[in-house]
Amino acid sequence: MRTTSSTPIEFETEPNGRQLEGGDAAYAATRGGRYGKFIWPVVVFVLVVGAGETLTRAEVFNRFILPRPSAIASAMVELAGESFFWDAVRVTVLETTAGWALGSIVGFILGAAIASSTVLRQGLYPYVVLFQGLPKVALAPVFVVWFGFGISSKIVMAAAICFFPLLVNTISGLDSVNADAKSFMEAYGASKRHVFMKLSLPEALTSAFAGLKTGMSFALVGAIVGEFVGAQEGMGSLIATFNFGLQVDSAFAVLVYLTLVGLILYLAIEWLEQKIIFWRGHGVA
Amino acid sequence: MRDLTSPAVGKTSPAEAGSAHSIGVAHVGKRYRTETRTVDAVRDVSFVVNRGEFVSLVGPSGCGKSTLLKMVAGILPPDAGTITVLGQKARPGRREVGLMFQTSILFPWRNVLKNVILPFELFGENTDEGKHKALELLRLVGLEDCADIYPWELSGGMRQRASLARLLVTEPDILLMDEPLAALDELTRERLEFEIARIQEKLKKTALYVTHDIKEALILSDRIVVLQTNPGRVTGEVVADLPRPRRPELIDSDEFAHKLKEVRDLLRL
Repeated sequence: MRTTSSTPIEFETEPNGRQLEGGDAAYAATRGGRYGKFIWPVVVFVLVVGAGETLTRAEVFNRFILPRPSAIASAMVELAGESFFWDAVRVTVLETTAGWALGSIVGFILGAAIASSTVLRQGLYPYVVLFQGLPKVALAPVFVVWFGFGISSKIVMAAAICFFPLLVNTISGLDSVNADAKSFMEAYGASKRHVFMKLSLPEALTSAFAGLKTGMSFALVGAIVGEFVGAQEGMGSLIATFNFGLQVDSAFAVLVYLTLVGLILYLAIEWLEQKIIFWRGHGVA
Repeated sequence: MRDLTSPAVGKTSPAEAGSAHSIGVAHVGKRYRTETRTVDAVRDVSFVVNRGEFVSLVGPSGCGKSTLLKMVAGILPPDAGTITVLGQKARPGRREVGLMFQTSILFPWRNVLKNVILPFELFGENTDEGKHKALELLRLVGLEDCADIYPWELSGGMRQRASLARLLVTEPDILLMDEPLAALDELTRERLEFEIARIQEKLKKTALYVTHDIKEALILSDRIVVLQTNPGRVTGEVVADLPRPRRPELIDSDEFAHKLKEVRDLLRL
């Protein structure tokens, strides 16, 4: 019936599909070939840094406004040899990860509670959304008053800013649990706990990781803002100190390192996700 | 071996059926309320499934056949009438009942073996003994080499084979299947139809099978209950007294064509 008519069509479409792929490859080849994705970023880097170097040397920009790329580079080398710099990195990474962990735990538990209880969903969720309307960094001065100038106020700041993405993703993960799988389990007499542990939790974990990744970037923002508001240690405080002392090249050097810290933290979670959610991209079906 | 060629298990009304039947559906009704109106998903539906009998519910979409199966499984309460399974009111969590749905419902974080033994976990039983049984059944459905791999590495047909192994793993007396082959391509579907027939001839379970595919119902069943829509109701029954074992040649036979017409005529009512 259906097979006789559909089989020849499938045979026709397959070579077509390959042709299209071949066409894509040929198209890509004209724009730098297979190494294009490595070459073009380097070209852009060289052009931008070269332009920056030329413009600053020609004193188009004051060196206190935009330091020379070469000055930033040598400041980076210099900083790498200083123990106070690595102490600052350690403090900021600690504040970020501890705040991220705290915010994530709170976000996950709160999300799970809201998703599994109608009362909590109706009673609590509006206030959570309301709280999200507040720019959390505005709380930084309050947290300094509450928790002091040490790292605890920064941890709380980081936690406050990063719990929301995880909360939302946990709720949506638990809400979108496969209905067929749920009724299948119930037909086999599964308890609520069974359904949660064996179905909802692993499914929620999949979407929670999206929140964990966003949360890490947010947590770094929280830690740095916390340090700006009042701290003696950390990379944010280092940037403020260098700026104050007009060592703009060193401040920019810290910014570059801060970018790397953010990147490494993000990649670390990405790695963790691949290890834990090894089935990523595949649902219950 | 039970003589399946004689229609001894023919049309039995719930009233006259004694304790012989495994599933009894009597005057069952189910209503769905939407915002604008109420819809009778099924109204006054009665049929029985006798012990060791393979019965299919056949009808167009919206005739309430899946609703009926859910009610027999005990996960949906009827609004009217009674449903008994092995002499007791239908309820979920029965050790004697196994289920299979249109989607394979395999969990991607569990390998095939772990998926197959899930029913044991849900019944709160020892899974070590279950593993033995699971491996045996994976062999029966031709997935003996797939125990350690993950469901997303399987094709659609293989996924339903795994699902079939899970259906049988707890050795249920009663199999409830809701269009288990509907999502497969025609070639895979036909292969699996005869495979299920082969397994049924070997294990002789009591089965209630929901499908919209008349041919599939005839290949598998001892009896076919035909349903119609608006409201969902039984319009008749056909005794599928075709010779067993069912083989692919059966499809080309005159008696198959004759039975096919019989079911079609009932569907046109």
